[in-house]
Amino acid sequence: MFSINLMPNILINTCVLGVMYILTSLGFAFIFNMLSSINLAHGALYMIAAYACYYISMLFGASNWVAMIISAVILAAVGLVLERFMFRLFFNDFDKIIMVGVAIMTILQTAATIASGTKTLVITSYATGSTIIGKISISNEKLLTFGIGLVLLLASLYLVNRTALGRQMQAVSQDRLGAALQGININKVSALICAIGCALAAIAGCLMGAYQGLSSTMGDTMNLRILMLVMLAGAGSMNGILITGIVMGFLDSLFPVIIQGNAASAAAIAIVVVLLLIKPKGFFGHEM
Amino acid sequence: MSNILEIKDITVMYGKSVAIHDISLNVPEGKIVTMVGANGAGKSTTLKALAGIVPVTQGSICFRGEELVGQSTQEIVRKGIVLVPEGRHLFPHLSVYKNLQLGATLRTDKIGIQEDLEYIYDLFPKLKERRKQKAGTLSGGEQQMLAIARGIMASPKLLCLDEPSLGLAPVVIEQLGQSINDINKTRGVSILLVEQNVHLAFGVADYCYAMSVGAMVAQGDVDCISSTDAVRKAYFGG
Ligand SMILES: Nc1ncnc2c1ncn2[C@@H]1O[C@H](COP(=O)(O)OP(=O)(O)OP(=O)(O)O)[C@@H](O)[C@H]1O
Ligand SMILES: [Mg+2]
Repeated sequence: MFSINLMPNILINTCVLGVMYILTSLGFAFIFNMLSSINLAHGALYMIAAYACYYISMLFGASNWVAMIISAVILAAVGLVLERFMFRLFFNDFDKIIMVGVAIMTILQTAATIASGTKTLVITSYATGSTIIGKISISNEKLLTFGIGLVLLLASLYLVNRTALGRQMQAVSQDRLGAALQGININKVSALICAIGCALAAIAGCLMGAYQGLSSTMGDTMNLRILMLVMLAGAGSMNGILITGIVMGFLDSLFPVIIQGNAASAAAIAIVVVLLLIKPKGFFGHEM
Repeated sequence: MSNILEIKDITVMYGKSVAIHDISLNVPEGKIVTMVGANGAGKSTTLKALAGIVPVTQGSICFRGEELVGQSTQEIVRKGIVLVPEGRHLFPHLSVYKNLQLGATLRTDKIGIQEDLEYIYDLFPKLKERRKQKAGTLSGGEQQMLAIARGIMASPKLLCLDEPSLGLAPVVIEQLGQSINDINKTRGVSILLVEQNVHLAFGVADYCYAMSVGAMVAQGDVDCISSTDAVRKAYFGG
């Protein structure tokens, strides 16, 4: 049952989940805005990155930090391949993009299921112990997950708003012909942004794989969050995603405490659906 | 006098239909050349072919001695041809300043970029005032100024303007003409101007071409051409 004593914990979980949701959603949103493509495989990429991290560290005895970085690099390369052979090839072909997305999702999920069998895998913790802040004890795992997520988030904001690549990405999102006429190499910008977006999802996957454990369906759970975040924020809004991410994180932290079992997740989704009915185009304006 | 641009007998197809055929056109170094013609004549298509936006099926485009056909838009911009397209194609959710920065995408000379920015703010003081405002919220006239200004930020040798007067009030068109002249005279930029507004076009241009249904039908100095049949029919009601 809910008691006010649980509030600090709920807020801490909100921060951790919120930041992870946002981090994963950013790549999806970049691709959505810049390439007008819905990447249904984004959640699966997040999932497979976590598995890659686990197996790299297990098979090669690498520390899970090293494994995380290798996994992110691999997923960045996957991003490059997807841009070249999916988004560029099927540009403006909604049906094909969706079909290929579902195909990739299915393949990755099957691969993960085959690899792990019935075992429950967990990436070993990046940090152990806990830190006492004020009267509250927070596990270092959560602090670290939040901290890394926050740093990457700030870096992403900097990238989008302050760098030439980010500016060019926004230009491509807002007017492709206009962007081409400025001499922007649209394919190159798209490829780089895809790589970065996939790497961000990978890192989130590696962190969540330690925080919540691995499962071949963790990508589906995340996919749903991504879609809700981006829809709630509205197309082309990055600041919006920051806020909807925190809201989503809060719902996912609060409901499991006050509602039993699967109903918690359903309740969170129900709220999002209601919000979308109120504002089908999302709550935030275009600024990306 | 040497030509900065020589277009020779180019043909452009959209699918199986011919949009323009055997178009030839020269722009002398440092001059303003205008291209007029009715709707659908193929003026924008000619400019898009020049900018590498649509592929050229036949013919050659020679810019300062180099062949452009087959080159990417990026390479063409780098060589110094900039197109300010019909409909402006600004980045509506970005500030005026960022739009201008994007105009200078391929440049690395920080000092030159800063100088050009100052020149633009001088030429269009409104843009300086509104540099933090989103481009999409500017008035039509201001948006056109920004589109041209963004073009100048690329430091072009040849600036191509596609119907800059579209939707502007007469007094704004007047200013536009002065700005085009200024860009040409003080910066030495050659200009290829596509216009429906013949008063603007003939007011600033040194030389004129007239297009009709995908072909070049007349050319000459502004004084002579305004009296040719083709142009009279298209613009002065016969
Ligand atoms: N993307 C396209 N696909 C097919 N046909 C096109 C395309 N763009 C232009 N056309 C056709 O090519 C011809 C020339 O068009 P273009 O836009 O060059 O004319 P224009 O002289 O610029 O006209 P306007 O003064 O109305 O801008 C027209 O018949 C037009 O319908
Ligand atoms: Mg036109």
